[in-house]
Amino acid sequence: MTEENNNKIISVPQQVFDQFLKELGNQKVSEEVIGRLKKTLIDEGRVSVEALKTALFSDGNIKT
Amino acid sequence: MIKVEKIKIEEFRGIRNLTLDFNGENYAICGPNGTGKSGVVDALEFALTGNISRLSGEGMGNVSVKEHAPHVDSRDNPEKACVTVVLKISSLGDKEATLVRNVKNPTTPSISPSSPEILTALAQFDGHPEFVLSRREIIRYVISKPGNRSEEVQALLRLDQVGELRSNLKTISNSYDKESKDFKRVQSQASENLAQALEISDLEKKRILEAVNLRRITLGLTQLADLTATTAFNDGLETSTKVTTLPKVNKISALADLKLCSGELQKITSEATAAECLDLKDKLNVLSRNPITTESVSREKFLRTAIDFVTEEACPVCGTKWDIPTLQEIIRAKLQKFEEVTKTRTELELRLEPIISLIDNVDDAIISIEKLAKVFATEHSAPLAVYRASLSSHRKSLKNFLPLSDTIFAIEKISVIPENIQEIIANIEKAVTAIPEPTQQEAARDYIIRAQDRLETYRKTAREADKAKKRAELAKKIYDIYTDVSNKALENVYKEVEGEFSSLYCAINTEDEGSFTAKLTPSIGKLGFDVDFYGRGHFPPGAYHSEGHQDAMGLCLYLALMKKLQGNNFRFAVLDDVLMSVDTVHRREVCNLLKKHFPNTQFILTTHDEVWLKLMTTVGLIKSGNATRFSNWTPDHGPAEWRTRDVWAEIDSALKANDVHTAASLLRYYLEHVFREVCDSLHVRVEFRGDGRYELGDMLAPAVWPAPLSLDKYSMEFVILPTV
Repeated sequence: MTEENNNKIISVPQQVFDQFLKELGNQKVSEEVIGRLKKTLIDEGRVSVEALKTALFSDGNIKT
Repeated sequence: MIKVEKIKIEEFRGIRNLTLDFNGENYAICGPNGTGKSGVVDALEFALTGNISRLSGEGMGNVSVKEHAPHVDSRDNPEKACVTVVLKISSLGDKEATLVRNVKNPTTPSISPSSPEILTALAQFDGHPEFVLSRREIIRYVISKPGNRSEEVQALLRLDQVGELRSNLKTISNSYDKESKDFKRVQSQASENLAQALEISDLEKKRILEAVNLRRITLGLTQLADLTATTAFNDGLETSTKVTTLPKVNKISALADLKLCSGELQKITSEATAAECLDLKDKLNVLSRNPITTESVSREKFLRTAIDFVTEEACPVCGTKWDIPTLQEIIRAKLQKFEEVTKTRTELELRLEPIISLIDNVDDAIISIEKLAKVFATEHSAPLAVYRASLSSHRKSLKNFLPLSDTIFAIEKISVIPENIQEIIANIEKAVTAIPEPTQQEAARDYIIRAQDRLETYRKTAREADKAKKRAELAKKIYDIYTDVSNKALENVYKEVEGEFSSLYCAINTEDEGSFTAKLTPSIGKLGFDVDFYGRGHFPPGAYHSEGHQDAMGLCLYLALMKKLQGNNFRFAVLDDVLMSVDTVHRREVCNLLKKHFPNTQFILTTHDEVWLKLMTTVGLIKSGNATRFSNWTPDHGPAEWRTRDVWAEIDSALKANDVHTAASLLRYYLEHVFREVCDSLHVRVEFRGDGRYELGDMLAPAVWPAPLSLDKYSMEFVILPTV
């Protein structure tokens, strides 16, 4: 848990997700996949199987 | 993030009507067992979360908040059971808000003002009642099984999404891995078919080109120099050949199909397959003979299927909305009970996979024979179709696994080929053999056409398999990265909690355990917890430490976790009779700990122990006056506080009713309460009692006689005496 200036709590899951997305970049996962995962996990707060499948393979192309 | 200024409780649990002014400060509620302390704790939890954990937790059977939260006399009027809290929200500059919640509509409290930032601040409590710590939670954190502790701690740290994401990424990875294997199998079959059409054993570029160019030379076509992704075996064939009509049956292809079919039938009837089927049948029989195991397999399969469907917001059958993470968690918890069954089923299903592949291959081969039968002897088509239907049925049984009786039946039958099928194949083979041999050119042309057809199929399946493989690789890569990142992150979280916990526990036990350390060891689904025992090594808390030490450990672990979760926003907690087994010395240290380490947190404490209450005041954890003493409880009136009761009226009333016993008892208890206060205020010396249970006789004489000066000074305290 860390705190921003405005007292907003950064939860443990949020920290884990941020680190995860950063590591995906380090591991050369495509920017498109990372962008879609960020939208799903951080912006929309969804972690369901369906949401993740769409985030990973939404356009039907494989990008690693 | 919030502090509670005031609480008003109406017709709720054992309370009829009670208002307590906390003023945003630490506050204590003291009273014997059964006087209504827990009712206040329940009211706080209900007001902030809409739930009461101890009425809705595991093992509560038919007890529910809806039916049993209202006072017993208002059970048919849940709208009367109402809790109102006035709050100050520190993150919003101590903005005040009033929250009213009744049992009839527990999920829709009235909040005023209802600005978005206030609603957001209060939403932190939704589904998270962890601000209440009772002895039950202490046991769950400290001496529970590692698997259960992991769940509790993860829930408290709100790590459910971390675990859920891992689980769902695993599900995705597994499903794409399975899909990739299926595509690979189809590609492999297409590869075999191509090799068969080319009449070579290995699909090496050099051998393919040699075989194809041999036929192209025969047809007067240019030789292919290379074999690339776009090479066509039949390049130039249409314009160079004069043959325009194809024979109904290509003899070479038909003989190859018959050979393939014969090979597949040999495989499915081989001794190795028969032995494997026999062994599988024995194992399936053992499984099916035990009705408990059979039931477990069915339930496990059902739950495993169910978890795949809990990805939508509502039930796919009835459309009822559900909370996805909660439902998945429930299903996973249930699945854990079937760990052994899962292992057995998975092992058997893995062994059934090659048998299913054999069935698929035989089915493919019989399709080719069916086509030949339509040309040579249509009467054979029906028996072949029947055989294919039986293969399909066996495949389905093996794939479904349940019911076990169907699987056992299928495994018995797959090696048995109906006699008429063998005869039909032999007859068709005779007919094909009787076809006149094609000319060399015709044979070469047929070869090229057939090979090109198989090549195109192979390329298509290879493309699909490649896509599926990349999908599976990406899904696995994402899962692996996430697992690695989340493991490291959680290890760091637990390391910090471990350090904070040790530091807090040391603060309580400076004298004898000043160098105390602890180890929190996370592993998949578990959280090990070992504590130092006087430098002799690390052991589970319940191994050597006393119950009192375990209570202190539970409190310290809770505080460390809350500090990790909320940091400086940890502003409110309810400690419900949590230090029952801790001795006076250590209780003093606990008071100091709460006061010094958590100066910005408002603690609401309950206890049945007057001495403990006094200690809280002496040490300065709670201000004098920030406490309520419940004297007794009745179903009609709820908890009674000494400070609000008209004791003399009650005594008069009892005497008028000639109930001297009740009047005398009430007088005695009240005087004991009063003289406890008097002795404390005058610092009077009272003969020590180890159990802290001072009776009227112990306090009356020392308080009244030895200090006339004090009597004058504190005469207001004795205003009641003349009345007595």
